[in-house]
Amino acid sequence: MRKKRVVITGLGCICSIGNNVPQFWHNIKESTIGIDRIKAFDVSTFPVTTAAEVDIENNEDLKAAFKAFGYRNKGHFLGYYAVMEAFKDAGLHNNEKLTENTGISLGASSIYPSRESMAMASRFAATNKTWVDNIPEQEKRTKEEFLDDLILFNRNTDTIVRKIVKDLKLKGPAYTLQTACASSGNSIGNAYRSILHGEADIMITGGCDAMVNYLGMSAFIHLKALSTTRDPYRASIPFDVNRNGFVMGEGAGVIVLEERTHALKRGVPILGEITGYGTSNNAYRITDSSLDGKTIALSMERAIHDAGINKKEIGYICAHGTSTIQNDFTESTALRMVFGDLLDNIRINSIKHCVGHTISASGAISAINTILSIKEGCVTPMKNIERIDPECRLNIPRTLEYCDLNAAMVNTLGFGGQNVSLVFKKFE
Amino acid sequence: MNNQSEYEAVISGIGIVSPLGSDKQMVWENICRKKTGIRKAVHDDLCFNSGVPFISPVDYMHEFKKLNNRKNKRFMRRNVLFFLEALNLAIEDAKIGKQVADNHQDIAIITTCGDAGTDFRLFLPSVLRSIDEKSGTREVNMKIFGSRGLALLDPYFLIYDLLNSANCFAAIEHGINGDSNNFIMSGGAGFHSVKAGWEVIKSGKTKIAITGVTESLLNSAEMQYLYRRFGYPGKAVNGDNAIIPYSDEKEGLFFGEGAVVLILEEYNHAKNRGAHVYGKIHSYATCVDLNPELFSGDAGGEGVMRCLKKCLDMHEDDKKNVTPSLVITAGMALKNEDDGELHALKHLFHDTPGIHYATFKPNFGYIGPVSDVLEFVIGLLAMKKEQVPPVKNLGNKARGMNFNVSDKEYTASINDVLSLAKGLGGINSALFVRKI
Repeated sequence: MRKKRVVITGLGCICSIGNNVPQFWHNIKESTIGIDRIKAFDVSTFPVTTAAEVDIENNEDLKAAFKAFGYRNKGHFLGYYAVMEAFKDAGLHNNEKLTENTGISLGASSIYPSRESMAMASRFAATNKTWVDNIPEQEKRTKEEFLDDLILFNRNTDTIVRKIVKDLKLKGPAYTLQTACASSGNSIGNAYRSILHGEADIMITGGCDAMVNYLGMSAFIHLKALSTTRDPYRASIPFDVNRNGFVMGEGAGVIVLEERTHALKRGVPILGEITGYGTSNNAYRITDSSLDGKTIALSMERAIHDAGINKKEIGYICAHGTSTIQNDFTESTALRMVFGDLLDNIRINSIKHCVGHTISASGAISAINTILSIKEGCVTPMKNIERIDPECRLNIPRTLEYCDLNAAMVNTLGFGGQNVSLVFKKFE
Repeated sequence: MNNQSEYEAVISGIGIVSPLGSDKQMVWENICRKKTGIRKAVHDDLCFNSGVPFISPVDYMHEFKKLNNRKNKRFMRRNVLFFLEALNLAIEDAKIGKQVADNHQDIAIITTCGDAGTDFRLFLPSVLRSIDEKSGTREVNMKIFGSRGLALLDPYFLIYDLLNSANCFAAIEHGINGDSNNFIMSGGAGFHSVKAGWEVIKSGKTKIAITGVTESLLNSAEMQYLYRRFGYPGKAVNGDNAIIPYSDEKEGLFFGEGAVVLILEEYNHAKNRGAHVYGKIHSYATCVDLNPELFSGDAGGEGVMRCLKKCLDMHEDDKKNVTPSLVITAGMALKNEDDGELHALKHLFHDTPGIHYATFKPNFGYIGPVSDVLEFVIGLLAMKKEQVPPVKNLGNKARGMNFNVSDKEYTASINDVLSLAKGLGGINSALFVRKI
């Protein structure tokens, strides 16, 4: 059976260096660092002080959009915002006929309880009464407000997908995925397969996350995964010999995938093609991967095999590159295992030096960067890298490099051992 | 989405952990005896303080094999332990222990984990020590939290709280490196992992895919939220009549917990090794209702109809040609969901004779995505045994439910099973399997 082809017809992005794709692309080409001292809460007594936040409070448009969004979940709001951009970019708005066989596959964020919810929990803990009974009379709110607080305990990860489906009237399949940092990579892979297997003509896919809150940060502080560098410019330095952890980021990346003939028929601009998806499980430990990199290599090999291309065709790899000592070493080892000496000629970078680690969104934002890199024929620089770790030995551009790219790969590796690789090609 | 590939996928192993037991035959017999796993919540239950009167728990965790020998047990939530137990049972049932050991790099593992709510007990000790008593709000003070509370936080709460942990721990326990993915949704999404496993087999990427679903949401925070959001039937006096789907007299559901693992296998691979085959996957579909309410389904049934039509690849003019022998309905016991389901089923099948119906929420309670696959498994067993199981709490009193249901089990020729799953907020999925 001849394999269908799946193309990209829309993009949407919001992160610390841009509220839309053009802003993001401009700033990533400039290697603009979107990392700063945390504003969301007082970090004066915290060992980690930097993050790549999306500043909603100081942007009137975003503030109004967040208010209108309907419920208090920043990660979900960012996802919704990026979906709207991608939906419009793909020319799907104001056309109900197109949503007939359009679906969604989204890697959605985890939610940790807010300070207000924790205050409620602490009251609850003090007695054997139910939560409602524990709220003093003068503080009692309406039922809806009370449920809004409780929803933060019930993570309802899929609420964002239901909201998007209902608002955009999508009649195709709807999926929510969560494989930690690999979520959006898996969601793109799932969407790609949905189209290949005839489940939908168009799939809106990607991921969203916002974990710059006190509990989200604390989780990774305890695992000693976050960078303790206080200088925002040098906090996230993937593959640099002086790296000491990742910087938490917030954002969303959304891609519209479409069956090739369907896209050609409606005459929408085609931005690129996805040709390969590979995934594997480390089956090693929940918190880290084996240093030999074998299972990460397995996921890359599977994606290349799925794409049906020769390794020589890969001209650029957007690495997971978190800036932790172990991840960058293991990923480099895996890259060398897969590409051997070819690796010396493949340009490699990680966008996390600019946007931090956006967890469930990281694979999708990397994919957007990769699609645009192939389209414009360039590889974006990592200006804040001073000395590449000799144990990583990667060809990392420090200035914007123009080159003819036919195919490129994105790696995204998840906590718990989930690895995803995606192959994108120039559309011809 | 239907089966048009050179590779076909069959179900060759089942493992379940349910409120009615983990032995398939025992669960089947319990269903035939119209037993329920729903019981009154008691003081020792985690959710007791939520005020929820009835739950459908797994009360026999102490019987799990290997439970006490598991490494890292302290990082595993109940849903992870359920999943690992169900996985062992499925591997045993499919007799693929050696295959898993020898081909661990190629075996896929795809899961749907229920979105079990945050267990606030993980944070509470640290939070209670970080409250600014002077403020009067009992809110967490960030300065105090950073200097004192942070150190009191369980250093491994992230692992305990990880939404894909069932998938990861299962992969670690069996050394599985193949295609890996994890869906996270409420009810209606149980079939998503089956779909993804089916795709991997159809495309020839693997011969065996482990697919499964797990949920344990019986903690007080989750129960507070779900019951206040969706309500529960005040008239229930005991577990036996706690859930009555399609009823005019009462509405609402009670929650349970459990896990199900299905071993999917490429048909010729299963045939060549002489595996027992429960059924062949024929088609699958999923979608969401388009009514604007985020937390309830469409009473009109348009979404259910769309889902069923896609699953059966139906068109208006050929609907009479589709005759599933047995339809497993969702029967959520929520007004909008039940109305929508009844409308859709009547519209699609009302004039089609010979279809048998069954529904199992009164037996198991509502277990989020686990319900979908657990109820489907009962359908598979019915197909194997050529017996239609009895339906509890339904009979002819149910609202508009004039379908072919019985309160006693009976013999019938069942060649295929269509299982319909619904989740809170209008998620629909359908899976259609046929006898080999």
